[in-house]
Amino acid sequence: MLTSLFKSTTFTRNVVLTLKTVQLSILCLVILFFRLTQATWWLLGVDHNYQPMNDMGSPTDSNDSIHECHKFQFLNDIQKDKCRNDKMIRTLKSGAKLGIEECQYQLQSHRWNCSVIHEADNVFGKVLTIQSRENAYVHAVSAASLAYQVTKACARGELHNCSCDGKVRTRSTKGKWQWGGCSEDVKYGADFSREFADSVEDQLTPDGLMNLHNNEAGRRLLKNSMSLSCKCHGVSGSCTMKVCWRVLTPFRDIGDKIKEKFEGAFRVKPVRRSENKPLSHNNEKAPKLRLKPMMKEMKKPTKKDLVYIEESPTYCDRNETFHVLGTKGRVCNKTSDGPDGCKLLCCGRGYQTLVREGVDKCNCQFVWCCRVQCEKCPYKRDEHICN
Amino acid sequence: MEDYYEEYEDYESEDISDESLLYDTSPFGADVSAKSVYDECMEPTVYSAVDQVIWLLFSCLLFRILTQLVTIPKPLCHFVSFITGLIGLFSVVGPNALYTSILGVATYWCLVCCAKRSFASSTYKIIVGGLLIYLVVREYYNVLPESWEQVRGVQMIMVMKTLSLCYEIFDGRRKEIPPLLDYLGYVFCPATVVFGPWISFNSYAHAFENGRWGIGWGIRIFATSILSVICLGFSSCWVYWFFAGINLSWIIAMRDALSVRFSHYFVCLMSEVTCTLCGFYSDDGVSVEVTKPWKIEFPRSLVDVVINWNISMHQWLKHHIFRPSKQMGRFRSVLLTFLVSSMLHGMNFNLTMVLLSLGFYTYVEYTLREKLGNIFDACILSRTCPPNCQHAYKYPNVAVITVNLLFGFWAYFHLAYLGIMMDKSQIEDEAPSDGFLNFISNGLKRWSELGYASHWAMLIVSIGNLVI
Repeated sequence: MLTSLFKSTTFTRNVVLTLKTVQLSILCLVILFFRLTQATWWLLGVDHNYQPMNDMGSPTDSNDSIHECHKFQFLNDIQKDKCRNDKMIRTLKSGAKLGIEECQYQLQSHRWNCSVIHEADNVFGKVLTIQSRENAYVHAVSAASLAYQVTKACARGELHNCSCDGKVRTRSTKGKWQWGGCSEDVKYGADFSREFADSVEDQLTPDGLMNLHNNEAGRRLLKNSMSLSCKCHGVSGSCTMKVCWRVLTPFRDIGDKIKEKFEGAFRVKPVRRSENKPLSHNNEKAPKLRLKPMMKEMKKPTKKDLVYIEESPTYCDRNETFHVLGTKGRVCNKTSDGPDGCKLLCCGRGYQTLVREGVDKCNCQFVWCCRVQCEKCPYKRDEHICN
Repeated sequence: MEDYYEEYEDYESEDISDESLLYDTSPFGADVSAKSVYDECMEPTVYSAVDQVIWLLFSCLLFRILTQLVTIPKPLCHFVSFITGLIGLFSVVGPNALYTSILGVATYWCLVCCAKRSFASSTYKIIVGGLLIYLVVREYYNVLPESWEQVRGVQMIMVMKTLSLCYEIFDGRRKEIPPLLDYLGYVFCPATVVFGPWISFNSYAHAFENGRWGIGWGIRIFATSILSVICLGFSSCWVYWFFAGINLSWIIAMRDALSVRFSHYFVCLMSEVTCTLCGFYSDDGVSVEVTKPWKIEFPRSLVDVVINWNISMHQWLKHHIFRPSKQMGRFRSVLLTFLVSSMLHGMNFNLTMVLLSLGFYTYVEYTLREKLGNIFDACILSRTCPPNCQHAYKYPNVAVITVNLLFGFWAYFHLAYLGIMMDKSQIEDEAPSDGFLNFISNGLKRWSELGYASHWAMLIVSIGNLVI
């Protein structure tokens, strides 16, 4: 019976066709799935036409509704759930934008300068599929920037869910308010960032583990930079009343700290737990992954250090697959010995010197009253462009 | 996600301590805007302060309503004062106030000792010494240091009240001690229990006979509270914003001293608010004035600063310590006064150094200016001359004004230097067992950073003073 079915040609053709469609659709789904997992919440920091946003106060923001978040396909369900009202949307956008800006500032003299690729789904292009140091840096700084902006918004009482809300301020929590200003805001910011940014990472894969570690490193560095400034008031300098407020260090300082960790990032390799150890009680199929230092004598990274798995590519040449722009056309500094010097930045290809002419403001004087009057000085400057 | 982190157990255990508490370095960077200072510093500070003080103010108002709006029998007045004072004290200080309340009640026993028939001046001195030693022991024995730091000021006021009553009996002005309820009402009166200036028992008793409710009362309360909040804002926020980004050590010293002084003005103005709210007036019918900030910020001399720093405490010291000990000689009585003052503050190391230095400075300054005033026959004394003084050169004279101005700058310089000692008296309390010399050198760290400049200057001046 079956063999007779197989012998029929039309049936065979149909079966082959069905198989082919199934194959194609699976492929499409895989690609789609793959692309979707590559798209990230960083897209919130660039606007819908993939241009970096210039101002936060544009009128269209006020029309954001609670369903705005559901329009963003690059967020997963947990993230959509977290972004509930337009204040939160604004905070998320500013967090993503701050992270991108800080990354571009800190890496501006490196070969890969955190450039935003407009066609890419994950803002920086496929270069971040390589688990490099730059990847680690981007994850750390974006997790920190999100936590920072949420903390700031919470301390100002702009968010409804955190205990520093204006309504809650007037309630009791006497212990917390009296001695800590509002100490809940940093915790809230860090927790929010953890739930939001870490929700896309899969801890069963090496790159998921790496991203989770780097996100947490960024948040830890942020937490260590936030400090509480307290003053005692009372008769003869006693501490009858203690009044505290949160010092928000500028995010530039935190970006600097993360950059230091980037310079000294640890190379790790993923290992599976050995078979000798008993399986954990929730007996999953794959034993748990861990990241261990590359060589035995290497120091173990702490929770505040950045880790990476693969060596970075040179970023010297343009590579369309990975969205690497290459260093051709970058402005380099002839006198510097750092990564922005012409020797390193141009990757040995040499540079061309252009003469830039322009008009500058000079000899500015204050005229009474009340404007500043400047003269125009024309200048000619040398600019070195990499080949 | 939790079990992800326990994977890193054998990684270096990171110290996940709480945020560092920032006490002395400038919290603001160089380019912070005024608006962000307002948002991030001023608002939380004011909210927090009002939060802590509001119940005290309510209990003051309640006290006034219950005792002065309607006439109730005197024992009940004292009882109301006691209860509202307890409410106010516990609302500001918290559960640590329990020990203080017990102390307040227990000092009645000291009074009973005072009133014994076989009262001699030695008993007075013993009681004074005993109470003061208690304060000192409390400071250094390090039992519950945080709670002590909180109630130090409150206990000082209580002890001052007890001692004033003791002195009145010793002096013969009071025949017998007041009954327990009156005494409790006096000690725990909400007007003066937390920040309060010291008031005499008679002023307290007279308050119940005052019925003045008027628009002036309301306006004065409102204006004084606004002023005190402004001082709080200055002390916590604006002083740091104004000097943000400057790293010169003397400017930083000036900034910290400004912060300390404005914190003091905040507390004193708040005490004026509580007093006025409870219906207390000074003996000559005007509102209680505890401090005169303009006389401290634009000083004539250090003597003037000391007098106007806390007027009621100055009166107490003058009355109860300075005058009775004048026969020991001027220098000794000045030093004794400052010694007793520092013991009242619990002999906190920083404070003792400041007060001792101040004692020395004021003595030198007073005698120097007196000598100069006699030599040049001009009104350049430490205190403003009365209108009918006999000097040849008086106020509108340019030279007199210049010399007084110079002395004023001189006083301000010393104020900045002394003030920084008070800035972080709260943390870094290493136990004395850490080594006595270590302890002293840590305490004097800020002065040594400035090279003890003010002390050397005063030493030179005092040598000059002896020569003249």
